[in-house]
Amino acid sequence: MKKLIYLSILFLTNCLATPEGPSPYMDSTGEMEYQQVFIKVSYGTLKENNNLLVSNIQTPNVQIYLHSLNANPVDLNFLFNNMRGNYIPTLQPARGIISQSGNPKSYYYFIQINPGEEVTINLISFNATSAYNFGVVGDIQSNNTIGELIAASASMHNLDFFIITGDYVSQATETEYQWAFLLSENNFSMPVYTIMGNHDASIGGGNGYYLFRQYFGRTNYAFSHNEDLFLFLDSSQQNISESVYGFAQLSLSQNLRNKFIFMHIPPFDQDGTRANGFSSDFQAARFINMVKNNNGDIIFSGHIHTYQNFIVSNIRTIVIGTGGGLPMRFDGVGFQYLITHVDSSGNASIEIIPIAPN
Amino acid sequence: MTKKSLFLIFILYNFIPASNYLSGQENLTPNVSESTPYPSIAGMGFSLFPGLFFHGSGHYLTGEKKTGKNIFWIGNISLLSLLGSSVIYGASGAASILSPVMIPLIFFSASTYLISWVADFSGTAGLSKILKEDNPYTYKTLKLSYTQKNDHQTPYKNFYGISGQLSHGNHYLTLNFEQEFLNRYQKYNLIYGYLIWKTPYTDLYLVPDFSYERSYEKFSISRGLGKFYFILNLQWIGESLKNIYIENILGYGKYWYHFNTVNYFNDFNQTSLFISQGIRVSIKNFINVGTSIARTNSDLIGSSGFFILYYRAYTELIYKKIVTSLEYKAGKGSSFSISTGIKI
Repeated sequence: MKKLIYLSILFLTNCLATPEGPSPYMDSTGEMEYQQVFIKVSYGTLKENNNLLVSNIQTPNVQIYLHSLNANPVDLNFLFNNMRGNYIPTLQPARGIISQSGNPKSYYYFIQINPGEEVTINLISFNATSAYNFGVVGDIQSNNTIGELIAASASMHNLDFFIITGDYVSQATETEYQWAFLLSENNFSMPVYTIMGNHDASIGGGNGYYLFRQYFGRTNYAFSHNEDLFLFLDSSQQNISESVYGFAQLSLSQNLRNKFIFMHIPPFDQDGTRANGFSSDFQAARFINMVKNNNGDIIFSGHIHTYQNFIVSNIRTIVIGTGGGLPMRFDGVGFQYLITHVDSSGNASIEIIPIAPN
Repeated sequence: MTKKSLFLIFILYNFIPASNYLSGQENLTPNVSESTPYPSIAGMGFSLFPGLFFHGSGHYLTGEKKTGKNIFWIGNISLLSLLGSSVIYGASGAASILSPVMIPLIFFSASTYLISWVADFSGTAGLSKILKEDNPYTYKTLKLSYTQKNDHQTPYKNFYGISGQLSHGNHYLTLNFEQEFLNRYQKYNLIYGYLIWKTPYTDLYLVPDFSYERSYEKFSISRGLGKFYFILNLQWIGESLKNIYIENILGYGKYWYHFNTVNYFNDFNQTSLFISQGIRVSIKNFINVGTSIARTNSDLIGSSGFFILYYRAYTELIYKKIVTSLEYKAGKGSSFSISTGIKI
């Protein structure tokens, strides 16, 4: 009973304290100046640790831009994390040396850059295959037991990558972010891409937004994989800001096959009485209308600790906030994640993988 | 606890004040004394401490023991109701099946707890001495408005509008129209209110509320809500709170979203819930002031937090037949509105 009261108070205080913050805006990350060389990793973090440039890669393909203002040649040693295990990354153009570290998802990369040189390298973490699949779940909320079970199950299904639809952590402390990073890196055998949820952004203050950028990278980004668009948007403040809306519109206007959108808080909650979607239903409708006009296909989200699968004007909304946060009662759902199978023709199907009852 | 019993508690919670009064007094024109010992600096001080923790202390410690006790019990029952309902709803993981009852219960419990403290402070400050009896639903007005909305999610910022209200007997009808300056957005709203129950201190209106919003981006929203306006004159609690009105609004209904397809009413629709509680007063002869908290996601600017709340404050200056209103709303974004017109 004590635990029940504690959990319910925690749940309510957490839910009530959705913070305002800079997160809905477009951000830049993964760039720094090191020994008078400007370095930018297009989608990933970047920090220096004992002369090693460590980066958590955020998409299957990234660009590494280097511009040296140093009068002498500079040796750059990178460590790339969150790569596809058992796959040797390729570089276009071939430049420098890549080698695997102890962790199958981590690679060292060495390059020497000459004075005044400007180089752009495409690092391809893994190639798309004609048919592929990816896992999705939200709201692990620092639940180590369920998080490890999901990672173990996902690793058995040979997924191309796994997507966490926000609320990976609960209280957004650095300890929790370290835990989330290690779970992604050590327990999932495939790359894990994540988006920001309201818990990640900091419940009750704190610097969760900056920790997210430090550990996972951008809060709004997109990539294409096997002709399909993967668009990641920050809706952690129960909306999509105008600048992010523009980015989403531009990304969706590309001529691609399937267009998958990932965001923490869905535009609409299927339960209109609870209305746990966007904080303005007009803005939710405006977003859906834009997605529809640009031939979007599926919106994957979390935030609501249950499973919902419904259609708003031809746009399928899937809520899968069942990754470990206090589960919703009386819905018979429990802890689970989903796998999206995309066949060689581009047809997508959803498979639910149960983990534990609630 | 079953859904049915929770609903019963909620109904009782809202209507006990009125039924208590009716059982004790049949006369619809209460004969009450105008004399209270307020304003009192000591009373205001006591309403702050220990009044912040023990609501009603301001009245109780300055001799108005009955009023103080009433406020104390209202505050504490609200607090217990808030804790109980929060624990149940929180432990359920915000279960859909409980939302239609538990969300209003949590909302009204929290806001009544807050209002019980405001009542203690306002009473000891002698606010009722400058107030008059008033019912804005009996007004006949015609107003023009300008509204500025600030919210980082919307491209629509500036609006003009026209609103009119007619009333006759137990009926009133309000029509509102709002348009964005660049004609990219319009909203039409029709509200009809019917006074279905009246006692000396309470009014209960049944209010069907219809609205239609459309965007130049070729989508629109239709809304239909059945609302109850339960209005309580706090004189029921004590003489020092005379003509301080609490307005509780609870509405259930349906929203339809249209995305320029052939399935006009089948694109997507949802059941919906509207809740609001606030205080309003009319200062003798010339000014009305009110403030409220509402739970809804139906505004163009976003509401705030899991409970999608926004705060609203307004003031209305009336000089002869000219009426000028200022309104401020804050949630995820904020809006400021000024309107002026005639009161017949």
